Amino acid sequence: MPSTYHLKIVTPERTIFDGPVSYIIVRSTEGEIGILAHHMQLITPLIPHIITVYPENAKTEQFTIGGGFLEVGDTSTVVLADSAERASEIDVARAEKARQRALELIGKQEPNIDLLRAKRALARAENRLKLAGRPTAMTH
Amino acid sequence: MAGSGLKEVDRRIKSVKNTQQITRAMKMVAAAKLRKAEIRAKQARDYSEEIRSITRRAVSKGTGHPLLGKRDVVHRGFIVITSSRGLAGPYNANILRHASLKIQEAGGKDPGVFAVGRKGRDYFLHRRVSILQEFLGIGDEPTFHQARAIAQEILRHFLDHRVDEVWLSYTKFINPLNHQVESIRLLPVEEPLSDDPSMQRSYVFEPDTQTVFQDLLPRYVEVLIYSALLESKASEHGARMTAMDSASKNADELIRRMVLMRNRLRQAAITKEIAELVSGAEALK
Repeated sequence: MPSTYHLKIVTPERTIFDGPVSYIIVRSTEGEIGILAHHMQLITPLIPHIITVYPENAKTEQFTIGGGFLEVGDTSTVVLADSAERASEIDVARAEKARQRALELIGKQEPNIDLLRAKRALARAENRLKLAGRPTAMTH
Repeated sequence: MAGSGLKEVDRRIKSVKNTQQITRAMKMVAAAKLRKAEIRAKQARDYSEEIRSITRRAVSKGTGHPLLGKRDVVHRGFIVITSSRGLAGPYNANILRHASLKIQEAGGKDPGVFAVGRKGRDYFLHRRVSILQEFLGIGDEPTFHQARAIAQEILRHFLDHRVDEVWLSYTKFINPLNHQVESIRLLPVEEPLSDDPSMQRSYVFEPDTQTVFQDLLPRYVEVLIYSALLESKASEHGARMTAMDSASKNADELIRRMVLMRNRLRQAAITKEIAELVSGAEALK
């Protein structure tokens, strides 16, 4: 039995990863899950997080994922991400700005703001900063 | 007045040359935009195909979401994607003809249109088809944000029972010269093809089917609209490039003929002048 499976990470803009892997770690709404070959077939929503990918014969890779879905099939696994970046592609200044904006929104405590959306934006910005090597004090 | 016909032709040649410069420039612009739009459309295909197949597999394993529910269809809604600008050859005419036919075929009471792009809005307004909502100003590079805004309105109409079925008509990009108009049923979400072997998989939904559907189905609608916008945009630029190319070629042909005519006129004028001179000299002898 093969110990690897095919992983594809796609976003509406592009396909960021497409190849054989032995192991990945993702975070769903229910918590962190690791997926090896022959995992149970599964469909689950993902929250904004940093996904860790262990390719078959290459270095470990990490991507920020701005929420999405995971589908584990019998021979292949697909991550449908709203957005995805490598560490080298992250715009630190923009992420920092997004973090400030989200923090302000959450801090205002106004009834008509979409708190869930602001929190997701904050999580996305913090993941980007974290992966880009600019750790911030995590606020959640 | 030997020169007047000549001047007239000269003026026309100049005017055609001016027009040709414009069509040439438009062709180049369209070609540059096409390259970008084509890349974007192709890159988005992967995602939209994946989400379509996942959604198909998912809906075969569970039911009970409002976006899946089939109702007795009274009102149908049609999303029609056109461009906002003309001079794109048969691009808009094709999609509008296709959509009109589709609307006629479908029948039902008082069909409505969600018009994306000014050309479609004007067309249906003129034909007194009721327009449920219009989305103008998509621009040359449709964003996911725009697609999401459209999707939200569509979902609202559907969930409020103002429409019971939604179709999406757009132009699929095959290559710069070939585009294909296409209509798909967007809502309720399409049923799986039963002979597909991937339907046999048994999935576990975490945390549960309803939560997954709650996230997945609106996303599915957004993505379908997004990729339709991108495909249509690439087709539009392709059509415009082709149209402007043939316009430039036509201008070449026109100029060629008029130059010929001009030369003939000039020759005739010279011959006439010589004949006059000679006959004048003869008379003096």
